[in-house]
Amino acid sequence: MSTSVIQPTDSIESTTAPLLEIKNLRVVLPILEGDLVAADGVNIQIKPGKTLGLVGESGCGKTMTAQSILQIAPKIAKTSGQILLHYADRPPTDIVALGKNDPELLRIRGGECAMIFQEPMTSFSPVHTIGNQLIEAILLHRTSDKKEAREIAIAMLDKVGIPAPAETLKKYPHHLSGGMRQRAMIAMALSSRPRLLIADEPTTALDVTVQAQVLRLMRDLQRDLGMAILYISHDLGVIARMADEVAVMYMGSIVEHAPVRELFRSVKHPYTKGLMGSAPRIGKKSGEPLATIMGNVPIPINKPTACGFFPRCPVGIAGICDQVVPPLVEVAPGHKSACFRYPQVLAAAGLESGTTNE
Amino acid sequence: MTSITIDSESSAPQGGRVLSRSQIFWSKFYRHKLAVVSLGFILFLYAIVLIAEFVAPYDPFQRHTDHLLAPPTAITFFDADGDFHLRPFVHALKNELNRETFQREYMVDTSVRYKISLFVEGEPYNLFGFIPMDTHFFGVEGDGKIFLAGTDTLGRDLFSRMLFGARTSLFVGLFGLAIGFGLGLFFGGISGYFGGAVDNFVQRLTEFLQSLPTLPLWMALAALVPPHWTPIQVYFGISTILAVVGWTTLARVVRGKLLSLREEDYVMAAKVSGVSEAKIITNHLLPGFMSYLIVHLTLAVPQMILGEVALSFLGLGLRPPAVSLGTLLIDSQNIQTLVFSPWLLVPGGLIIIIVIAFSFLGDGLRDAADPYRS
Amino acid sequence: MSNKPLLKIEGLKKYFPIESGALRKVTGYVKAVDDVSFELARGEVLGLVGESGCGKTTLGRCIIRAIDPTGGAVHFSPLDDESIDLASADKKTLRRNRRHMNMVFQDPFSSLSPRMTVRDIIAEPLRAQKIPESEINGKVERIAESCGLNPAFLSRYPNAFSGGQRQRVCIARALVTDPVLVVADEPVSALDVSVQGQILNLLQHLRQELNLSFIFVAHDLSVVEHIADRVAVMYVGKIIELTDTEQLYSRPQHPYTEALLSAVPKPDPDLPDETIILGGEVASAANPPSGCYFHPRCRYAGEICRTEAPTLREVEPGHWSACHLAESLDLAGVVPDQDD
Repeated sequence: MSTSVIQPTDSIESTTAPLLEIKNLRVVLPILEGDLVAADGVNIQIKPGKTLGLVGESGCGKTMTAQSILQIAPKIAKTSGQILLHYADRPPTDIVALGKNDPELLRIRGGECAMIFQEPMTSFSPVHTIGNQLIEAILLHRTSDKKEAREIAIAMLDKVGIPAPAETLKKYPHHLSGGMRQRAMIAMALSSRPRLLIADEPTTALDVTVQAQVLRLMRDLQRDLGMAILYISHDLGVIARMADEVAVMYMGSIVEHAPVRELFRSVKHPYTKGLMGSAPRIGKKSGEPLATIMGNVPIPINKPTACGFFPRCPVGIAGICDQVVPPLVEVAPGHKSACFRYPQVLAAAGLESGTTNE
Repeated sequence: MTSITIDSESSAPQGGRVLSRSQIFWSKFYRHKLAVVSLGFILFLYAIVLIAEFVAPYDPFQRHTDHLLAPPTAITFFDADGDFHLRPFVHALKNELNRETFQREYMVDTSVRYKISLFVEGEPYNLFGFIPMDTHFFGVEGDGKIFLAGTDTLGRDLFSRMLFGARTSLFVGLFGLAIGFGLGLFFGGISGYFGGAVDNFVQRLTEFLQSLPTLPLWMALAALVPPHWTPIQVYFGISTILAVVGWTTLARVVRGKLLSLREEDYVMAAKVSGVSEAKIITNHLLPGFMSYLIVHLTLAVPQMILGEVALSFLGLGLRPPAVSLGTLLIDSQNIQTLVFSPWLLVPGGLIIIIVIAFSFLGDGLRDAADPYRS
Repeated sequence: MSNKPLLKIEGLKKYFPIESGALRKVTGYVKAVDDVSFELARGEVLGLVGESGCGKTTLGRCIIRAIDPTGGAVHFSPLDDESIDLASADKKTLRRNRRHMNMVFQDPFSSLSPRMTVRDIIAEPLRAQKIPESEINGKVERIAESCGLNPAFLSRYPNAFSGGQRQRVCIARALVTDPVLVVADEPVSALDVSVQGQILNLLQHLRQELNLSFIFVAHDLSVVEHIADRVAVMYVGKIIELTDTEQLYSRPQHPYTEALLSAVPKPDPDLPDETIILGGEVASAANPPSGCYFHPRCRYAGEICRTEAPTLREVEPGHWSACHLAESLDLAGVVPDQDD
């Protein structure tokens, strides 16, 4: 491993006050097969103007966590914990505590916090023009003047790089290509000038060249508008390009959390390490088999009170990992991990650290 | 919006039970309480109409000449003195002609009590057509009469007639469905499978049939049923008519499902493995939409029943003396009798309940068979 | 083993008619695969890459005759001596030769019939070839084991299996008749990252053990680089570049390949973002532009590119490119990682 020179800005414990703080979030879905724990004590902070990458595979709870921020998780979901949206001039709002029709929630949803999805086709209504939908959103959150709203709409479409924005206003979603639709959705999300943009796999359905366009667009817009981004993806390459900090989720829990450089330089959780080994890296043809993770991605139904990764872990310690839930603690400056291979984690769980050494 | 999908990853060793498809189907179905109740009701109904001779207290054609248009008999536990009797009983009915209105009026004679018993002896009959019996499920002792739903203008017990009528109507529905099912499956099948010109022809044919007003078409076809046919022949004739008109929707469903299933990867996988066309149809395509067919059929039964009722009510279907829910309603065509004998509408109520029960059952089955609802 | 290629594809075409109006009049064609020719050697893995709609899936399906091509020839020589043209073979010949080739699909959920047990699914190609029932069980269990499936679970239905295990079932079904050619259509793109690696390793292993040839269709350039010996890049129905994997990734000879390679996000936050952002949209296969289909988006395009359609030609030994300017351009490949 190369040197781990940590720049001051890299530290997740930096002094900037967070914009959004998720505290001990727990989301449970009672389904036929049992209780599905989508989020199990998730703690994350998102800072203004920064991007937090949330990485995980299907069913790890990353989407559910994001949906909880806007209270758009499925109705059957039972949510507990706190999601605090901070303000400079007044006490924070706890989104979990807001009622379904609270005007505060409606103001936050699509206003202060906007979201873009994997499949832009489903987030536009097929029976209204792009313009109608965009202008409606602007009228809801920014201005009551229709003419001004139209101007803002054109400006937004222009900003996201859609050619001939005035004509595009008159088009229906199916007239646009996948990449253009995703741009239009970004325009819609950003039209309310949100402080936080939640991006749930926004480029997964796109081709690689279009993905590159959209990623660059999002970074440019973030620089111009100064919003924070919660970027959800399973693709470590995209995360490396987009995120300032990365949280890795497995079975509803954050298992590793670090600034992006630190994470890619010095992995400190066997799951993250396995993820990096599983995907072939471009420009590195070796002919060797990939270092994969054994077993299958589990669905966290009736989750055991132990490390969720233990059944697939190559370095799991029987008697500890399969008995106790590892807490997420700092194992290196600014770098948190939830793995009992680190003495700090053992200590935090109240276990003897002498038995196992790294 | 990305919604959570519980896919079948649950084979993972995390304690989640693996449910089979049928387990998932039934557990979803059981959540639909109305559908479960409807299923129970429908099964119960089919069971009792099959043994209608046993359940009915009287023969449907037996005329109780001193009880013409008698109202439903009240069953009570308390006698005229207010004393409680453990066994329910009925009072005798006397009919008198009202001298002022010249209407026949029934007076309850509370001095006479007839106890209700189970498994009483009555008119002999052949259960299922070949088991000679004379035991009826219930009845009253002695000379008493029990008319749970009153009697009609000829003094026949409406309750007994309803059981026999429901038998006819419920099974006309099934028989008609069987024919319609065959036609729909055949036309939908060739349409979806061969495509091209065949498809075009069948589609235009169904559109033509669907655009015809149903009632005149029924009437025209019913006119083809010769008047000298026996009720049994008419019965099959009516079923066929209903089926000939009703197969089009099923054909559409079959064609649509077939077209979408042909695009499924597993069908292509079978094709590139060298599986023959016939095997692909029987092993992959047909099972693929069986559940949809069952749902569709369930929802089509009430259409058939209503069709029979409508035709018979109009005098074009089954004719008296044949008993069906439709012919029972013929008596209620006369507004005069309706005003004075509202119980003649009871068969109409039964029709409504049967139709609603089938609709609920169909809804429940559809929701349970739909893999995209949890 | 002869030097005769396993597959020799010549001028393969698949046009889908565009119908309009109530009478379904054909008003044009979508040229999904347009005049494609290449060879596949025995034991070779050819990666077929391109963006959605470029025709790579259609090409894969035409080769194996899952769909009927519009024109061209696919000379297939499963055994040394005989060679048949799959594109024009009659049903009987085709079915007899089905055992020599099979397919793995992208979606492991829709490609397994939910109403058959896994044992029956894997046995289906054997039954289709009229293999005696007595031999079937042994063959099924042997291939299942090679694919990492526990034979004890074969009597279960696919819904009891996870995505990765289902893909193993698909692979077992494709390999149960000992084929020589497998068309794998995005076999790992629907899988979770941690499972993708397992399936890639499995394919790699089976390929060596069974001496298989693969046509590996994928959009993920890193996956293709990992598994393929040679790579063909497709754009709007045509192959625009074809060469050895290492050559293609390090020294591409077509501007579209260059742009594709640059757009792959690399899992290293320290690498500068050198993505070449392509302007405009992918050309429509129903109404392609004049000349080189890529010219409206190409930053190197010259006059000849606008007027004259390039042909796929050998610009270096073993390196085929359909770019007029291939020799004069110095295109960038993937920058190798420097961290080890």
